[in-house]
Amino acid sequence: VNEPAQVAIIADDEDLGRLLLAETAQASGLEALCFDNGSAALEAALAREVAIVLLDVDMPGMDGYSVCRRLRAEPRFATVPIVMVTGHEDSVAIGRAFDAGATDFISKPVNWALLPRRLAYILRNAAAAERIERLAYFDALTELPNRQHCIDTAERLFADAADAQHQVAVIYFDLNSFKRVNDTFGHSIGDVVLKNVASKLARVLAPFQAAHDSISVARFGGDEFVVLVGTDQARSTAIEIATACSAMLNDPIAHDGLEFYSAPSIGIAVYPDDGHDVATVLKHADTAMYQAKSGATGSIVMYTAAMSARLRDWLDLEGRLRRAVSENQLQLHYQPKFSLGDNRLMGVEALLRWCDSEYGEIPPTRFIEIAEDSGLIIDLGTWVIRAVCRQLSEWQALGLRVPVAINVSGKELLHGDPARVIEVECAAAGIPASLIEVEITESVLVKDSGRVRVALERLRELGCPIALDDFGTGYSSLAYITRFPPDRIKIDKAFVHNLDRSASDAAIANAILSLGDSLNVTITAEGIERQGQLEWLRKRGCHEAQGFLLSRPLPAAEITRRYSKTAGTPPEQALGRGTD
Amino acid sequence: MTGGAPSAGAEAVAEVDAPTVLGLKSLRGGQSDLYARLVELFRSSSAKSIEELRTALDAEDLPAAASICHKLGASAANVGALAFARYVRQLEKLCNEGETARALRIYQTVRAAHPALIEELNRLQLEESA
Repeated sequence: VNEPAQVAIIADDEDLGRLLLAETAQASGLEALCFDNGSAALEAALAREVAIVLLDVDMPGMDGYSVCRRLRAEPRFATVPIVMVTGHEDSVAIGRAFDAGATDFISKPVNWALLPRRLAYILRNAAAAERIERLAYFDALTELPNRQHCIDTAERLFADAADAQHQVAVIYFDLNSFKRVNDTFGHSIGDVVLKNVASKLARVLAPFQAAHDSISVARFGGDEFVVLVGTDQARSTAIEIATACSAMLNDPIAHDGLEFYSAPSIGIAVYPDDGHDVATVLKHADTAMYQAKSGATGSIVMYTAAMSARLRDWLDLEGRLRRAVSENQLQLHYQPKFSLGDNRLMGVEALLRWCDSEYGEIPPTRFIEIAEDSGLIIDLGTWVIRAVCRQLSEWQALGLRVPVAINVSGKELLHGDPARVIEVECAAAGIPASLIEVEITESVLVKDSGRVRVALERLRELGCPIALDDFGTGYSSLAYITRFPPDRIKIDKAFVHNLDRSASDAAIANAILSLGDSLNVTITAEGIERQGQLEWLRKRGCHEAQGFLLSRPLPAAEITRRYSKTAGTPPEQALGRGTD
Repeated sequence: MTGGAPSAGAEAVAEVDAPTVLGLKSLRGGQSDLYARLVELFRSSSAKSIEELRTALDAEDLPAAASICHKLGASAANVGALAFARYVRQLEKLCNEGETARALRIYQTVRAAHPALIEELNRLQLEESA
């Protein structure tokens, strides 16, 4: 908490009174700035930090009431004590003083022996009020204005803008990887990142604030910051500010020999174009921010009305998905994969399907994104594991022993405990955990190698094989793979698509196949749609294949029907023939 | 009724309130000779005010006279001349009420007491510096 500035502004047109007030202020440890008229005192008070203002009521020109009212109109004078000194003792004068916003009222003749003690009391109360104000309106960690302060400021800017017929832009910042930093390194590092972000934002804003006094920044929530821009060119200034902030925040934060990234997603909404009240414009800036989040990292998005409709759909779908999980309305289909050496069924990949009563079939890319964004992915992951274990138990009873691969997202590995869920569900279903293969994308390995490695090691201890899905499309370096060698690598369908026609795709596929050889890892090609692809892969020693040419994803009953008696024998025409 | 104007002799009007002076002398801000400074300021400003008051009353400019009284009364109270200040405030009130004749009578009392008051203040000031 900052100590109040130690300056007393004194206005009295009577020389002795002015001198005595100055003496009293100095006796209270304040520096006294004295004026014999109201307007000079007002000008001085507005130009500096002030601890207290002592005003005579009757002065030529601007009287004490007017000075008091004018000062109280300034937000920074909200808690500064203003004391009126007057010879008028009637209730009307006292009422006028308090109506003008006076903190206290001192009658003449003044008891000068008592006044220093009274001032000390007033200053103590003001310091307490200042502390309360700071607690209520400022964020203790970053020392920036808080959410309530931001809303109050926005209310004031919107009112001013309505009078002046100009705009106010609201810039909403959210830090993309903050939760991961907090979860991985703890809150103390999270706090370091937030303080660093706050000071970066303040630094970027300083030159803009020097040019316009109606630009402010606040910490709005956990990792959310809001900048208000109340200038006549609010929209373009906001874009300029957002661009500068984005560039500054994209630089990593160095702390204790580590680097942390705090790239933001930024949404902008403008009053009155995007809403006529603070709550609506803030909500729309937030909506635009979410739009930015779903795109490239660090992007800046201006709000459009269409976004709200999309967000409503999104929220509606999230609610429906939540119900679908809890009411068991999801389905699993299973896509077989086959050995290219002897055409045997080697396993199936469990693929989630959701058919909503109103929206119909929802593509997995859509609902997985919703699940990841809402945190529902953990429940969804648990549902899949349970359903797969029950299915495996059913197939086991029918004599069909077919490993099932499930897709596990980075969020599940970071925030959930898939190993424990698999252990519990396998035990309940009476099947070995080794029948469940865990597919992760290579980007998961990069995200948070320490934490992910622990989660993967636990899965491996249970006996679950680990497969690296969509290989070749992410950012993984070979170092990650050698540090945590997977049991299987799946060549992404993007490279499989043209491997028999494109030299560069063929080169990548060849490289992955060689990698599999040297690391002794099973290589599976996915997305096989043509016989040519299959032959190319077979000739180069690819171990397994999966794709529409061999089999579409099938309901469990169809898997049972096709393979329960013939499991381990070549089931597909395509595999057996070797020609188109 | 606005009567009741004090009708005391110059000595009573020139009396200085001892506890107030003590209080002023106890004030410890930046000035080491605060009370002497106050008396000096009062001596010059009050003499000027009394002359201006005379001019205003002669011109029957009662608002101007009331304004001068307001300031003079406050100054007097600020050196501890509480009785003198009471008379001046009474005078201010009469001016505000347009009671010219009675205002002139009080003015005479104030004017008559002024030299004695200054003398008393000088004495107290000397006591201060002694």
